Amino acid sequence: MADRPRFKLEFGGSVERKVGQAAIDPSTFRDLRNVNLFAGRMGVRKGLTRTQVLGFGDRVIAEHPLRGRAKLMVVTWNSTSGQAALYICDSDGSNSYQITGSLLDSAFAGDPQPRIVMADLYDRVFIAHDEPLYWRRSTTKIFSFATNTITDIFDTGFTDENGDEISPKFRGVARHLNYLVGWGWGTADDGDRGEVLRISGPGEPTVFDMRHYFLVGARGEPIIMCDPASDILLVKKNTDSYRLDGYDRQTFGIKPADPQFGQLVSKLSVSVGGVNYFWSHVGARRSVGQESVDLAVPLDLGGPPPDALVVSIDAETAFACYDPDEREVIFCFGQWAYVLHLAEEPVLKWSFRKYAIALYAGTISFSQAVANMEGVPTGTAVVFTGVTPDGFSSAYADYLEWWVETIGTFGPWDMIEFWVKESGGAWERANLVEAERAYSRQVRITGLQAGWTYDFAMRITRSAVPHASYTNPDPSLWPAASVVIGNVNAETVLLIAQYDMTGELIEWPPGWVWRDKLIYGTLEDMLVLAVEGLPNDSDHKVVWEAEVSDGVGGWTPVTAYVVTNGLSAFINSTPDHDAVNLEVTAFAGLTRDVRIRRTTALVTPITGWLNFAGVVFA
Amino acid sequence: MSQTPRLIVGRGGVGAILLRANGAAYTDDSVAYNASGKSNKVAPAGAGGECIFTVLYLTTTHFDVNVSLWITPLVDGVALTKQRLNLVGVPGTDGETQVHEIGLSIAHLASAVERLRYAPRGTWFQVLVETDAAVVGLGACIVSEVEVEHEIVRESKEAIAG
Repeated sequence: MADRPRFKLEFGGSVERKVGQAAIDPSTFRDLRNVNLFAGRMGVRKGLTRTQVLGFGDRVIAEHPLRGRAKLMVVTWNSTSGQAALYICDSDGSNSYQITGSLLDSAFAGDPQPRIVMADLYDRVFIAHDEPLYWRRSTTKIFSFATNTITDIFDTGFTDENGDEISPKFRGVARHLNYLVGWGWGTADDGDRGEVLRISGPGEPTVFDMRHYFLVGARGEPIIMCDPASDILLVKKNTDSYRLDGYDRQTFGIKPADPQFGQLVSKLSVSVGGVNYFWSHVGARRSVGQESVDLAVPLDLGGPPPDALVVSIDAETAFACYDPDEREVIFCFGQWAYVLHLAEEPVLKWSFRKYAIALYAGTISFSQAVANMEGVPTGTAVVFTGVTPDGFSSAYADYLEWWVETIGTFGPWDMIEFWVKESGGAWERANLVEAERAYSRQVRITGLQAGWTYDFAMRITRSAVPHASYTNPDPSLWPAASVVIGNVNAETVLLIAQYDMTGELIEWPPGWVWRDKLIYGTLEDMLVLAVEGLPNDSDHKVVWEAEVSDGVGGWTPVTAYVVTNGLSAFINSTPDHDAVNLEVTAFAGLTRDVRIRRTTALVTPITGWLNFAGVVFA
Repeated sequence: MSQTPRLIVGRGGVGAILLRANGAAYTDDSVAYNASGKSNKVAPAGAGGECIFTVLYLTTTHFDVNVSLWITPLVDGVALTKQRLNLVGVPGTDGETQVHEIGLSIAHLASAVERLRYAPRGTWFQVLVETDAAVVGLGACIVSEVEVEHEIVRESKEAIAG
């Protein structure tokens, strides 16, 4: 008996209207769940592997990749308090650090999950709050790697064409060419303009010429999302779409793209290979900038989806993403997802996916095969040397200087953060310098209050991510080698032989027997010198003389004050073995050479001058 | 300089958790799930015809996993007795490809005693493939071919244009 004929069954195949005498019911949705489809085959999908738990919040609500940094920006949300936080992680989802600052200007307990739209440009991440209600919408924030902080409503970081600060409340932001595009905000006086599309200056994503904007479609119908599609920017409203053509201010223009279809919510779209896939009010569609194409035929949304999917759909928290490993576009609605398999393009196949857990955000992330770019810093420690305030109680400088040492191997993305906390105050990051390599260096922290006592701390970060031992928001809890707590005055403390920032020790007077403490700095119109450990002679009275010169004319005597224990007095004398400050007064803003000496002594007269060249009287 | 793209997703409910898609195991954040696939409906004799369906050939490729598959044939929407396939782990990455021959028959019972079996007869054929429980292992489990052997007993005839 001859073999009977066989008929091949495909999983998730396209609609085959007729194969021989066989007929395929075209209206039947092929119910595929938790599978990958490729080459006519069906494989059980691999699972989701936890990379880490982020400390703040109970839900991840937004992600954004940073290709150049090989990092992943992540927004978490606390559903109880309504507050959100920004994290920076490695591209594989490991290692994280919570960026200081608040994303939401105001949060209310019981709020619906906020939608966050992010874009990055020029090493900055722009973060928009996609809140339809204008009064609840937060100002657009900027995270900068140059400062490792988030801007706030008091310092937005945005300016208009005149350099005046503006406070945009964009519903969304996107990168287009070398412009930042923001939408949903008009002006300071007329902010709630959902149809307004603004474009930043070229290469200046924080500068918006207030005269440069487009009114997209009908007024009052807000722009939902902008995505790249082929070489244009696809501007989508709820039920219609537009295209931003052009490449600069002279050529930019808005044209209708699709008069019938738009996007449901901002997160339900993703662009892959120049094609934008988005979820419209009738289901999935795709566009290359012209009229969109319906993708719902193979998906057969009119057919019966799984019952659980119907009740679980929550478009407000849904999102779309692309899985590059399996070449799948995923429209995820909590625990359920519609998956469009692109592995056999132009044949498109669909499947359902029921995750074991509910998802709220997803994005493609990019690693970099560059040493020392990802991960945490490997530099092991930063230690202080020379920070030994020992009796110089008078504080006249508004800055601090100390020696630090970096140990280990560092990459170009490793930075040293310096933190200070004035007595009774809060920790603030004061400075950021490149770690570069392992060596000792001198660091100056400015802008401090003269005379206040400060705590210090430092750590190394790699693209803003510190080592795990340094993630505590309280720097005083970092490893002890990197922290100095208390009793450090905002007063320069360093060895003069190492000092070359505002002056230079040219000559050490012969016969002087100074000990190792001589410090100085400038404050306003004074050169402040501190001396201790005077020669152990029998004379307890030392009189000082100072002269200044502009380098052209001769030396001009100036007043030299000796200050002891914070009290300024014209006493012109110092007791033996005490720490004192000597002030040399000149005009503020001048640069002068300075020399000092003791002019009168009962024993061992001093004849030489101690010279400083190019002292800047600040 | 090369870049490796990957999908990172975030969950909620039990904390703000990041997860990598296409992980090593067949669990979502350690929670198991099942997979299933229901094929197209096919009518080898046409919508108005009728066949007997005799054998289902299922080709699988798997390695480094232990999984049981339930195979449920459906004729005209009626499920036949489902049958179980056990795929036991095979080391390596090439995997083992197996063709499973699954006889399609319906038992004829008389007083609860099976007297004979006969092939199902109908118009539309469909097959449902399900994992019995979570796939255990780090390898792959792929259903690559499904064919149904049939014999047409009554064909539908196409209309002839006059």
